[in-house]
Amino acid sequence: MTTTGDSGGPPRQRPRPPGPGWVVEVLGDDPVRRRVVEALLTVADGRIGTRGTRAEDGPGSDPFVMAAGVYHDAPAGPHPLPGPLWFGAELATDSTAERRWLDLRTGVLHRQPLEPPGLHAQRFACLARPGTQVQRITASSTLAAGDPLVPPSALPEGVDVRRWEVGDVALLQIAGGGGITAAAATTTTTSRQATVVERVAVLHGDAAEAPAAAPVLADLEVARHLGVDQLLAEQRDAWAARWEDAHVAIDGDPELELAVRFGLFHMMASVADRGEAAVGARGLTGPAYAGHVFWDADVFVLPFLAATHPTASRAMLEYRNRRLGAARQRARQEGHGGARFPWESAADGTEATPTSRHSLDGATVPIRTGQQEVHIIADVAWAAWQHALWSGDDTFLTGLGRPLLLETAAYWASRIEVDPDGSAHVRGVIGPDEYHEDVDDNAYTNVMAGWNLRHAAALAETPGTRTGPAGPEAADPVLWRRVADALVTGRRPGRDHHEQFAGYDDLEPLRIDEVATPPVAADVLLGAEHVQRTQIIKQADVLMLHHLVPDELPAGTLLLDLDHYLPRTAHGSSLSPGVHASLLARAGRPEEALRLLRLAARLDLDDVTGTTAGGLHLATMGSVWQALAFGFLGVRPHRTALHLDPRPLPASWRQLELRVLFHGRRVALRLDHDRLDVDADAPVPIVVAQHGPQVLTTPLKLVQRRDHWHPEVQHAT
Amino acid sequence: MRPDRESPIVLAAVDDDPVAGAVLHVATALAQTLAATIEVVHVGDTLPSGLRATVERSGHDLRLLDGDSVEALTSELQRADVRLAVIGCRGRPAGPRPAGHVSLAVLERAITPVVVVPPDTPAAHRDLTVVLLPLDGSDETAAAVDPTMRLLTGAGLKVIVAHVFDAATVPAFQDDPYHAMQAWGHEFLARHADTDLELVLRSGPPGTRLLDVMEAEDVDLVVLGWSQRLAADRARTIRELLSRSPVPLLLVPVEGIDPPMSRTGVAGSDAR
Repeated sequence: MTTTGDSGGPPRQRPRPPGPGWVVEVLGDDPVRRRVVEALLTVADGRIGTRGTRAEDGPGSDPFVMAAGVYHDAPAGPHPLPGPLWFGAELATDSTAERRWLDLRTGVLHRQPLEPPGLHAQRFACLARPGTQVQRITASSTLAAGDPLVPPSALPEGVDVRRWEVGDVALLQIAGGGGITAAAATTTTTSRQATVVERVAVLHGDAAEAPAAAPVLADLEVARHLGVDQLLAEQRDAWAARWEDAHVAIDGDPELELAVRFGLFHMMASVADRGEAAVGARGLTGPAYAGHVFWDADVFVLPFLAATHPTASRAMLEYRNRRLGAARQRARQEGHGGARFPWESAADGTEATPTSRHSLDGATVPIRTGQQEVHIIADVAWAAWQHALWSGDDTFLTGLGRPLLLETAAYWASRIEVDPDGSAHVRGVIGPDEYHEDVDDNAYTNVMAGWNLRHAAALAETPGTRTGPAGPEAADPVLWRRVADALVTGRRPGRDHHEQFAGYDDLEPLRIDEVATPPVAADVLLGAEHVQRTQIIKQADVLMLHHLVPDELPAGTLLLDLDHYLPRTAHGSSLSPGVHASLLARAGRPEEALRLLRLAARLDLDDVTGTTAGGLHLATMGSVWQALAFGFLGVRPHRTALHLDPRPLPASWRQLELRVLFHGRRVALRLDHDRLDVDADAPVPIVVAQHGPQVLTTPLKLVQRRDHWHPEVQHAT
Repeated sequence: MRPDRESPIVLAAVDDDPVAGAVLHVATALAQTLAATIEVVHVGDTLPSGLRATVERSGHDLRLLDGDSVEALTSELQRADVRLAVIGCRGRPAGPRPAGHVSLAVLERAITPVVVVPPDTPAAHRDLTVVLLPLDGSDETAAAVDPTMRLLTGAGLKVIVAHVFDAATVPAFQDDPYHAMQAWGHEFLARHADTDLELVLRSGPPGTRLLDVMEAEDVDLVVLGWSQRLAADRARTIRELLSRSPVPLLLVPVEGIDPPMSRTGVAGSDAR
């Protein structure tokens, strides 16, 4: 629809970028980094993600619109279905002399020239109305609406496209396995000063089929009726509410602060907060990693959402819950009970891990993670528990969450082998350190399995069971506890550290500084077969236990394990630096922690991996938040209280601020070098480490005296 | 390659050496691919009888050049209409120089791409079908070889891009050997070549790994960007391939080529 206005009014006020702590800005157009920038500037609403490709872009760009959890059946397995490109326009501008910025506070992507502006573009994905996408372009130069919906240029085989119109609305449907249906309307207004093109599009996705058009059209009608200005106002309000609960500030380190907020923004933007949320390794920012769901989601992304927006973490667990059927079937096929979640999950919950790859010496080698990396099963249970602890939602553990705890425990009970001497083992696995395959008694796997069994046993003894359609295996808390207590955990007489797996200590005692300066993909440098014979590890493995379930390990073993494994860690995984930052903070080594925290926080902004063009590393972003929360602040949810154990800050930081939601109450934590303030919008029970079991209540002010934290004002219960 | 003006020329330089026949065969194949005309030259005031017979069998005319061999050939390569040159690689590694001194001197001075033909090449007996394009990840190399790559793909040849990770170029991270390499490879091709091309990744000594790939992929020609400096501490891969490659090497001069990119790869961030 085109209108010609002749109001003669002034051009719309051109916004100036907000404060630097909330803006990711890109100047000009570097063809080499073009696709990286597209990923960085993705706008998303938890359901639909649109990479930051310019409206007029052509060769060299990699536009991608994706719907969470919607795949097509590619030859190599399920792959994100590319959605309609809804943001195209025809405009003439010099992209080398412009500024684009992503306002993290509002989720709006802006674009305007450096010199006296003749163009201003805004694009956003409506957080308050997932599926609704908006773009407004104002230009005094050549501007035309262009085609409102364009199919992706490289359409995968077996994917069909259908296009039609309903009045002035364009529709486009892409289907192949899953489906995406889009409707878009464009309004062009021309005045003496400028042409304004406004496009509103609605996209719906479905994992099984192309969504019906009628609901899409209905949502579009609502959005059009509201208009761009109202949608923008809603967008600002929606993001403001999210940041109220997810606030973070690092006084003294503005660059890191911005990088942290960048990560939190993309985690929030990539995860839906209703229905189910399939969170791929790259979220909604690109198709790399085939959009598959790994432990990245459960262990690294979920905790942040559980602590700030539990409806989103619940949606992530709904995704797992709806795939229990496939998990049960897999367990039975493998001769086990309970539920066996896949290492890589896509639409239907079956194993989506590729089965082979080309090695760097030209051979075709099997991929074993899909068969052996079983710790994912306990990771799902742990994630469910985290949601329960942060949210305080008792109905969760008697409802949706219950089978995620019980049926995973049933799997372990059937999988664990008990030897004649009574010791219990999990054999033939891969732990988080994927350099070593087919190992026995990986400490991480075993301790997490034991954790899973004990917590499931406690839950099974809680009244109010609700069973699913197939009914879970009969819970056997007595057996589960007995097996959990018998599991080998890597503790060996005469050794001060946990042995990562049986025989690890007998491997070639190579340290990473003998081969390269980490981070380094040691398997690429040394070859997979060689590195497997050494003690060099890819990422935190034993140390992940100290990070996730510190209470499962003997007191005082963190420093011993840290000193043993850190020199052997290549950090060849982007999941590693953030976790180590957290543990180094716990260990009272803040400057070392800061170095790794910076690396993790800027991983995508600096394209350290060379793969950011394919999508952002959501798990790394989650690990950064965990370093601040679990590491420096030492904040952990327990059933009835929030536990705090603050640690020294880096010298360059004046203060660290973080907000969390605990049992629905907003808690604000402000830590500086000798003081911690804890405020909440309602009284929250607090337990402070080194202060005994006494439960205190917010508001709380703690001061540090002789390396211990003491409440300045006590509100004992 | 310089833009053509009139009919581009493929210059074949021959001398009285068993490789002359292979040089003429490869030059003919390249000329056909590039829609160019062949000129055959020999430096000397007389034409040895063996060489005369070889040239006559090829069906091409020959032009004699006088003066110093290196100067004469280098001067010919500076002609605007010469698209590339084809020379033979006399000899094999018996000392510090992997090829004949004239060939090496011409390679170091040429401003035009030069194809070096080994003496025992099977390329002398078959069509030009598969081309290997090793890329080190530098923008300069990619830019220098890009015109050649597009000419060859445009002519219907299969171009395989190769990259060999070594201690200087090994990635900092590889989260998952399958997915990470897919993502890394896609972006590597997008930055340095073309995402429609096949990419082969290897790890280890570059020269050795490239030789393995040549054999595995049945390559007919290798296109390489290089710095034109064959000092002892430079161009190790080029020197190794010159001495061991079983197929012709098309060496493209690259200006301002740096040592391989660091592990982090990206020269600074423009995202602030």
